[in-house]
Amino acid sequence: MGVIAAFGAPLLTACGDGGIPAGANAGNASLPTFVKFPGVTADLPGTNAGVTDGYFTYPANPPKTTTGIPGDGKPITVMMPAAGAIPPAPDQNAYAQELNKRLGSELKVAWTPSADWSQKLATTIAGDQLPDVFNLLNETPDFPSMLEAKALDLTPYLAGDAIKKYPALANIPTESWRGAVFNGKIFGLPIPRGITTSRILYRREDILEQLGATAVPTSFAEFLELCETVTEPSKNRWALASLPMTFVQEMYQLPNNWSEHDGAFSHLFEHENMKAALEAGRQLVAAKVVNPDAFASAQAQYKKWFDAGTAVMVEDSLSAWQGFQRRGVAIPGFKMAAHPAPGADGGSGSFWLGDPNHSITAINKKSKDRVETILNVFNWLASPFGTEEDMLRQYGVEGLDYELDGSDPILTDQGTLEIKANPVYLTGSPATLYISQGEDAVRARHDAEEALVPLAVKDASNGLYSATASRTGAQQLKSMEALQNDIVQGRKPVSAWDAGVKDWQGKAGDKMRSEYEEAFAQLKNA
Amino acid sequence: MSRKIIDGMPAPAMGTRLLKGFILLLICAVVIVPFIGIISTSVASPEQVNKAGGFVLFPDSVQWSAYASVLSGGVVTRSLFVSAGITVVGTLLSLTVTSMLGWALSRRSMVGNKFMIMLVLFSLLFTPGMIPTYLMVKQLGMLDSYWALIVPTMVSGFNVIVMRSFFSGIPAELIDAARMDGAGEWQIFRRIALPLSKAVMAVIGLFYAVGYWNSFFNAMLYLSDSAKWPLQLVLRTYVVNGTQLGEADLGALDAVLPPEPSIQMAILVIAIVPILLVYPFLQKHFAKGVMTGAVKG
Amino acid sequence: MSLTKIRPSPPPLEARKDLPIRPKLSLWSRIKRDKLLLFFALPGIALLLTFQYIPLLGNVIAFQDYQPFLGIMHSRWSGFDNFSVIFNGDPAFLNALKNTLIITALQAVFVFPAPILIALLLNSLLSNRIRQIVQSILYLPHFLSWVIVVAVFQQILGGSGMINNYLRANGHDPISIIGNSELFTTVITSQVIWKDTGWATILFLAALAQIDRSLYEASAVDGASRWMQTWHITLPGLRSIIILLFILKLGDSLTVGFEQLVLQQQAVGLGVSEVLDTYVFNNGIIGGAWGVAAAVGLVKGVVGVVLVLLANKLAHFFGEEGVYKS
Repeated sequence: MGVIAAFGAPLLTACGDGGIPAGANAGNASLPTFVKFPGVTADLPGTNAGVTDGYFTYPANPPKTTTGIPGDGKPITVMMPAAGAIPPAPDQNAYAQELNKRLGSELKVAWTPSADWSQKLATTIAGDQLPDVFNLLNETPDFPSMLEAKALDLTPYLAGDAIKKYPALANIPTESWRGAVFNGKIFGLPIPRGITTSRILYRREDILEQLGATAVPTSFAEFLELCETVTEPSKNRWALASLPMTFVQEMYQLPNNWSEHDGAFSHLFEHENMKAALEAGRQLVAAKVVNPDAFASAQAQYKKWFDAGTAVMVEDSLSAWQGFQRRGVAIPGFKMAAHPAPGADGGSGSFWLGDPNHSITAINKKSKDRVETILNVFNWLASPFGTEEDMLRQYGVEGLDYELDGSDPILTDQGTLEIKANPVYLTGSPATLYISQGEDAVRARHDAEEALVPLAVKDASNGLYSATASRTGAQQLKSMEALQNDIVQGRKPVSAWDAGVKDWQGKAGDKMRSEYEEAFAQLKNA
Repeated sequence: MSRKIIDGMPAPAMGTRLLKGFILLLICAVVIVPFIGIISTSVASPEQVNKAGGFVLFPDSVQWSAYASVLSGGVVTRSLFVSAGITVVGTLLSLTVTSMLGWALSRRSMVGNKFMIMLVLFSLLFTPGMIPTYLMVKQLGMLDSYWALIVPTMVSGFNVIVMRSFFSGIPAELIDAARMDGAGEWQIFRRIALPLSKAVMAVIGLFYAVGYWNSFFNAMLYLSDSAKWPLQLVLRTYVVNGTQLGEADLGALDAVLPPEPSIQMAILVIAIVPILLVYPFLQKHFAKGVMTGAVKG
Repeated sequence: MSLTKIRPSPPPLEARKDLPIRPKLSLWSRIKRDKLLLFFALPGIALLLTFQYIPLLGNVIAFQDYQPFLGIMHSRWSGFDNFSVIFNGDPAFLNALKNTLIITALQAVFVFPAPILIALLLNSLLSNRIRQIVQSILYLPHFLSWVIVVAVFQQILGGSGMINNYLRANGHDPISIIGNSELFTTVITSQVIWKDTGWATILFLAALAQIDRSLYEASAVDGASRWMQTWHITLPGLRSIIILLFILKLGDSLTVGFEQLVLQQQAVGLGVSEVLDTYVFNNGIIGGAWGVAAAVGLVKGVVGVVLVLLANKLAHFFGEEGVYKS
């Protein structure tokens, strides 16, 4: 049941994963040096352009890569959003006990349901009750000033070669660190996600094969035709779980939120092709190839429709791949794939890169005397895939939390429950591609990534700070989303878009543009 | 009049009774069908739930794995006890304070009566912000204490006003007569006001109890240690979590999975059952037939 | 200016209590007289002061660009800027206000009387057992959060929900209920009735329980029919609580289910679904504008006070007690 709904799926995925979209970077001088961790070799190596390292199995006998115990024996207080159901308390959780033992400093975590995060953070700040370490899931207005007031400036400890003291942190890509820099200072540690936050269109190949419709569409017209072919309401089957607006906009080569040309910024909304994309969206809705409850539901429900075969295609993040595969094991014949968006009139579309980070974690200004201990603990937690530390962090204690199948760890019931204590929103290692469902599944996604990445388009505002975006950006985005919704659902004509864009420019767009341009120029001159 | 009289009312005609029966049956069906769905989904096999897209009205088979999964690890069990404790202690305190205030306000001759009624009334219309309330709770040293889940919400202006209105219905002659017999304020309250107001006490008690049972927000704000969380806050992490983390993270890691429908429904059932069990005991107090003496009207 | 200005001599002490009109006492002696009653009121009033009124002072942030990390002392004062979100005359705001009033009116007409009707229906049942079972069923939905209620409605009535799947599978045309802008107010009103009617019935049942059974018996002896009893005994017995609840509800008229609406806006568009609270949320609070939330809370509170006091005066005019009587 789609009870995860909150505000529905963001149609205009400007910063669609709730992460922090921008940092105010005042020059590369303050960024940490990137030193690739000499870890295990990938079976399908990734690329600098963004393709993720792929592994067919979990590496056998993962090596221990840290020495000694990072902690100082005293607990570290932590505040972060709970990823799902909260874990059993440490006194009843073998995983948490083992993790704390290895860290040498107990992580005293105050979990908060992610839906309530902003209230919890605001009251905690107002009451001056921030713990040693706290996640910053959402940007607050005047974010850099808030960080200056409450978070410790980590530049002296991490900038340049200083980070080499923490080899696992040095393994976090520079692109991710940009999101943690504000006012030219490093105010946090990124939780890196690479390209996995980008949205793609998933297809149920098994159903398409049954229907004899496996051809990959090469234009919007063909895509619409495919959708009409596979939609069969009397069999409770629709082509699309939701309106795949990112996919459609990629077909029309629209900018990924902001684009930059010779230092001038322009926005997706203002692009000449935007109205064509809206018209295409409207046609898809009018053709009744989208599940009729799509606009009343959210992503978690879309996933279920895809699993159930009620939807043949669904737009979701690249990181959802593993989840679909995992659940697909129980679905007879399950087979899925993804292809890049074709050009609307043939040729190729584009691929919008998502935010390289999930969010960032800051260290309390008041915990300055323990900063090195805390960074050591973070370094341990950021140990990359294939290390003994990562194995413990992700899977717990062998025999209790997981059993080995070959070299692949398989979580037990106890493990499934206990690893909810994994502090995933503190920090982490770069995203990797590992699916325990075997080589074919890994290859399928690796191939998809290789096809997508050459078409990648970045959001030009990534790593730049705009005060207007931070204050009213979300509101303005909301009203444009509402307008887009009205248009694609046929409540307003496509021509209504122009007035909306004018309004948006006046209220926020133009100010955001000049702020980004200024930040961009500064960065270039630095 | 030849018609039979039952409980002070003439027995209704057969046609009326049938019509009423039909209407009630219809209303009950409308309410109960979704609940059957909730219970069915909680016991259906994952395959069936998946095939149905998340909601099942008639389960093919009954399995308790969702309940076993929710109850394993002790988190939910522990929170059930917390909720029960908060609800019992909170309701008793709330009822005491509310009935005392309601009684005082029902005595129009009391000095400051109107001022205090206004104070109560306006507390309904103006809600203080979340942050100032948090600062007050912090100032009183109640952060991370169970008292933070009870004391700030101990008095509801609405309940005070309702209670006062019921107390106002107690005839003044009864009070005066008691005073003539030498009863003090305390005795009048204990021997006259409370016994004559069992129905409203039961209702207000239920309002408070359900309020305490259902609340999660204060616990979210005031309790950092999740081992102290009440049931509804734990439930919340199953039902609405993940929304703000971003779609990209749902299912990306083993630790971050979208919640399973059967588990969501199982925990709903677990949260409703205890309150269902209490209801019949309260219900008898507002069943009809209580002799109250006189009521104006 | 009467010539015979008669000053009543104070009655003898022991008789004073029985007199309906008491001589004016000084404040202090009245406090001393009522000290026990005041003691009764003390804990409740103290709690209200501590957790309602003192924190209410924090609403000065309505005039600030409040940021939690700066606190009240260091946040910038912004005059009436925060109020502009509701006083700017924006068509979107006026639309939200219109929708709010429509929904409030619908709720006054359809939602408010529903529990009274159910209470009367239950009260007229002969079997205690059936009455209790029905009651236990009807109050169940109150325990579901809006997220669940909205999801349940969709699973059953939605475009790909159970009813429509059944219709399509059997060759009928599906019916569009959820996500249909024209039916939106009907759907949300039905949801409120479904969720809270049974629960709201409880208070009326308590009021019914207070009605003296002997009134029914006496009237039955006089030959009154059930309808006449309902009209002359039951409804008058409920009148004061109905009026009281209606006045309190009036105070809330600018607040209509935020959570319920926000969950369903996308499918029907803001044109029919934007109400005051969602407008303020979408246009201020979503960006972390705490001051705006406080400002709107103040305005709504003032409107609520005006409505409640007016309604109360009106009730007095018709000889009813209302919330209080001076």
